Amino acid sequence: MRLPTFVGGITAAFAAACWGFPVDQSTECAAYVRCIEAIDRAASAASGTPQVTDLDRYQDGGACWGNPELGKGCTTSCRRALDRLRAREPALPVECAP
Amino acid sequence: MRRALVLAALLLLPERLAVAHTPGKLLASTPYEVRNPADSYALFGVFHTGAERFVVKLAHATRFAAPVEIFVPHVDELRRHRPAYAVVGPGLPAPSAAELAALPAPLPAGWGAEVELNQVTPRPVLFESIMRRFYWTSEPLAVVFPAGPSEIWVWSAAKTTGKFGLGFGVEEGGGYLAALDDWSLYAY
Repeated sequence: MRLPTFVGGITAAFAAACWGFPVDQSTECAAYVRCIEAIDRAASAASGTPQVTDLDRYQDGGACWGNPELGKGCTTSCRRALDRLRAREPALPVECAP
Repeated sequence: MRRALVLAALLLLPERLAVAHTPGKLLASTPYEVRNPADSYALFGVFHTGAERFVVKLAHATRFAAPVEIFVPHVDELRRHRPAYAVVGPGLPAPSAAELAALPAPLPAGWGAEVELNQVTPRPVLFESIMRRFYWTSEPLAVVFPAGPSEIWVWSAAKTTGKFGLGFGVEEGGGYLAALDDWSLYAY
C-alpha cells in the first residue's frame, strides 16, 4: 500500500472513530417533528399568539444526525415522547396519530 | 494509562468538533445555573444520603425540544439506584396524581412537570463512547422546555445513594476539558 493511501486510510478511520458518519433522520423523529409542529399550529390558532418550538436538532440535517450514537439516542427520545403524548393527551392533532 | 490516553485524545481533537457534552458538577446545596441552554450538558453528582434534591436552572429564549436522560454507572452496587428527574416550569403538562406525589417538592403555582421516574425494566444500558463507560440509563426522552425559566429536579425516590449523571441537549458546546478538573466524578 502506498504511503499516502495508508495515511489517508488511517486518518479516515480515526475521524470515523471519533465523530462517526452522519445518519439519516429517523422516522420516529420525523413523526415527532410533525406532531409538535401541528400542536404549535393548533395552539397558535386557539390563542391568536404564534407558538413555535425550536426543533432544529430533530429536523432532517439537525445535530441529532451527526453520528449513529447521537441518532440512536434522539430516535429513542422521539419514540418515548410520542408514546407519552398519545397516552396523556386525548385530543392530539391528526399529525400525531401512529 | 487510560487517563493519559483519553487526555491525549482530547488534547488532539479540535474542541469544537469533539462529540461531547459540556460537563458540570451538581451539588445538592447549590442550584446549577445553565449558561447556554442551547448547548448539551452532562452534569454529574452524588447522592450521599438519598434525601438530596439537585436543581438545574435553565432559561430558554423560545420553546425548545431536546432529549433528557439520567444515568448511573453500570456497577453492581448501583443496580437498584434509579434516580428520578422532573423538568418543571410554566406551560409544562400537569403531572398525574402519582407523578405529583412522587415529586420531591411542591410545584410552584402555575407550573407543570414532565416527570421521569426511571422505572423502565429491564434496565436499558448506555455505552458512552467518549469516556468509554457503560451506564444504566432511564433512556432519553424528548422534552419541550418552555420559553423562559424552567428547572430540572433530580432526586432519589427510593433514597438510594451513589453517583449519577444527568444529560440534556444535543448541540456540542465544548468545554469538555473541564472534566479533567474533577476526573473521579466522571470516571468511575
